[in-house]
Amino acid sequence: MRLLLPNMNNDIWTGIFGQQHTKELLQRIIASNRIPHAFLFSGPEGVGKYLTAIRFAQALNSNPTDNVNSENVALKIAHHSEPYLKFIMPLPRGKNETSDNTSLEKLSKEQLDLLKEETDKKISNPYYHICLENANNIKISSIREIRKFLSMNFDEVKYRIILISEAHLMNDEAQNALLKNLEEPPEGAIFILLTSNRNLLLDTIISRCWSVNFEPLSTEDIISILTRNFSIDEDTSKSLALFSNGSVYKALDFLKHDFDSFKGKVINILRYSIASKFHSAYKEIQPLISDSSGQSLKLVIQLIIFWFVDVQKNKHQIQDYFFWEDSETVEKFNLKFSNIDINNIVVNLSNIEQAVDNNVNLNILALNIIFELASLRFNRI
Amino acid sequence: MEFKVNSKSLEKLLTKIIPAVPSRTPMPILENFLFELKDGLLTIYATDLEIALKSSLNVVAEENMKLVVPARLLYDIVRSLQETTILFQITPGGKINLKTDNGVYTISYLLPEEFPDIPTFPEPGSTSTENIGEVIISGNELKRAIDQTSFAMSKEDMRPAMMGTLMEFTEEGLRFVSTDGHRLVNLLKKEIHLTYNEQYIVPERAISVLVKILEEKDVKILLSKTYISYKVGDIEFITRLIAQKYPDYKSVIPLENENKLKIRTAELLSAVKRMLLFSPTNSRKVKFSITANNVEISAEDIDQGAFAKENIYCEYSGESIDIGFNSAYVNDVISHLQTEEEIYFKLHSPTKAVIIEPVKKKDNEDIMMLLMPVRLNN
Repeated sequence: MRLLLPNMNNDIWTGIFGQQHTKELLQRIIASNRIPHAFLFSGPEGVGKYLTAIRFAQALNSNPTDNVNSENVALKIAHHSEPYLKFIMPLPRGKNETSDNTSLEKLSKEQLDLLKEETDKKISNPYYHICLENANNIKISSIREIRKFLSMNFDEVKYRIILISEAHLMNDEAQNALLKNLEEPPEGAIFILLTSNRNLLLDTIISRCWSVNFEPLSTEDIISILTRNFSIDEDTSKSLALFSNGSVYKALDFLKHDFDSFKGKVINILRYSIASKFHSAYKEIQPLISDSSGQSLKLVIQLIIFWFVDVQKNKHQIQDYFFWEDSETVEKFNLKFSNIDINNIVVNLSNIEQAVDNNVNLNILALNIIFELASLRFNRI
Repeated sequence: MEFKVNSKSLEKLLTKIIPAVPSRTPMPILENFLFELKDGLLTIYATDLEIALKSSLNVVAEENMKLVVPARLLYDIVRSLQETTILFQITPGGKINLKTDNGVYTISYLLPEEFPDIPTFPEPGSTSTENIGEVIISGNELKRAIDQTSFAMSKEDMRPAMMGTLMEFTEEGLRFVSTDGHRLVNLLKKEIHLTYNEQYIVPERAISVLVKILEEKDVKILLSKTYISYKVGDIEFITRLIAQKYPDYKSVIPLENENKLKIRTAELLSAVKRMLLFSPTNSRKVKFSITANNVEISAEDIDQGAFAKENIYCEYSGESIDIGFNSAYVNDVISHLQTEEEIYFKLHSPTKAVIIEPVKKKDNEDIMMLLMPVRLNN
């Protein structure tokens, strides 16, 4: 895919879908020429925070009187070229790595190659979700490298942007190390922290940043991104977008499975569980817990919740179903169980979803889902 | 598009440039050389954004061009060749063929746009608003100055300014200062002046690379606010400066150290080296008990049940004093004064900084080291 570069005279937000409100806000900041030295971009995963940050950085460093140079700088920013942009992200740990090593020093050749590959994908497709195994936090050595980067004299560069992706993956120690730099950065240094979970950030970090909120994307935007940036066919994009909660990453998660058969499986699980055919239900769900991360199980739960949303919609005669191919099933379900407590089951299922992240045994969780569904027939209001 | 170059002269050039190529970097483009071919002159650049090295040689070529080639691979292949002529053929498909008498080696190249800009200085005589300083210093002298000062640079990244060596131009001359808060070196070269006074902080990485490329020849140094360039023969070495204020080192140099201890450097150094073996690994403490005409140096490692002491003759005028030091720091300081026959320790009290300097002062330079004592708990 060709790297899209913004045309500085025309639209600085090239390639960004949705986020109208955010774009306007940032536009006003650029126009005011009084740029805060730290930003916190917060919002769900996969809604365009990264691309917005890149475009913002490009806009800040553009010079209307010198188009050639501005384009050159814009290209460098898009490629994460220091000194214009320092890109910080969670990294895996190398063998025998201690906090004295630099962030890449102990990584193996394979890890480095993978890192480069994933970063390149992100550069050429800003909505791509970087997936590195065991990259669970932002290393303190990365934060130290920021300090070193900032101490160097780069007077000829107007703005140096430090872009910290998934900032909530800094542990407390790393966050505290960052604080000092956030407090008094040298002139021209601008921090942009991206996070989908700002609750994990220290208050002291949040209070030093200018907060910019991002919204979930509309279904149309998701469809456009999936078809244009990921070359996914229109039909698949449409059905994925419905379940995406406005996040490209979520849509792509579903895509990892054959989505139609995955949906079918979820319906089967529902059917067997409610009919108390526990063994059949378990046989359906079992292949999905073979990946030990539990991600597939989470998707199952999410789809089941969507299905209950359909049930609720049906009750209120809203025809706009997620499982529109299975609308009959939904209607039948409502005829049979007209007075069950849907809120309760959704809350319980969400709790199970949470438990996946807390490392609860997946087999137990799978059974919990089945029994939770089976209990429906006894939980009437 | 092609050009020819002798393998040995290319190897010589690449050997000088390759220290600036970083090995593990988040920016893969830096693992390349930038080749710039202009009017038969091939200039090769390498940079890690902090430092940059460049050098040129004449080649047989008809066109001008720029390209980016993988540094390690090119260096390794050129280095392993016998003396021969290499023909570089650049193909439009993004490949370079390196042809020798018997072989062809194909490597990929990249376009130069992504390669970072290497800072340059305005041509002499151009109307630039920026103040560019220029001094010439003998390579040997600069190397010695760096050797004597760089050991005391801080490795503690909380204060980035101290992680470099200060080059300070004053009316008295050029001062090299480095400190980590425990020791400080202050070396003054009296004969080197600029027309104005200014401080430049050269980062640690630059210092360590600079020492490697310095030769006997004179070095031309160009100084701007953001970077310094060192021209050593046909190589140009450019480093960014640390954009921080250097701590006010003058305020920590005590003025009232009236008690002077005169001692032979070689004797003290060899004794200190033995004490290193006996000082505890955590505190590295060594004790100096100073009386008139005698210093008793002792170290004790209680965990190991080891103890050592030595007596050395000295000349001392003040009151008897017991003072403790970190033996590794004493060793560092004295070994960098080895060439002096005798040195002075100027003391005040067991808790105040000690000044160490040579007894015989040179005409054109002035060196002073400062060492913080450690507390003795008896």
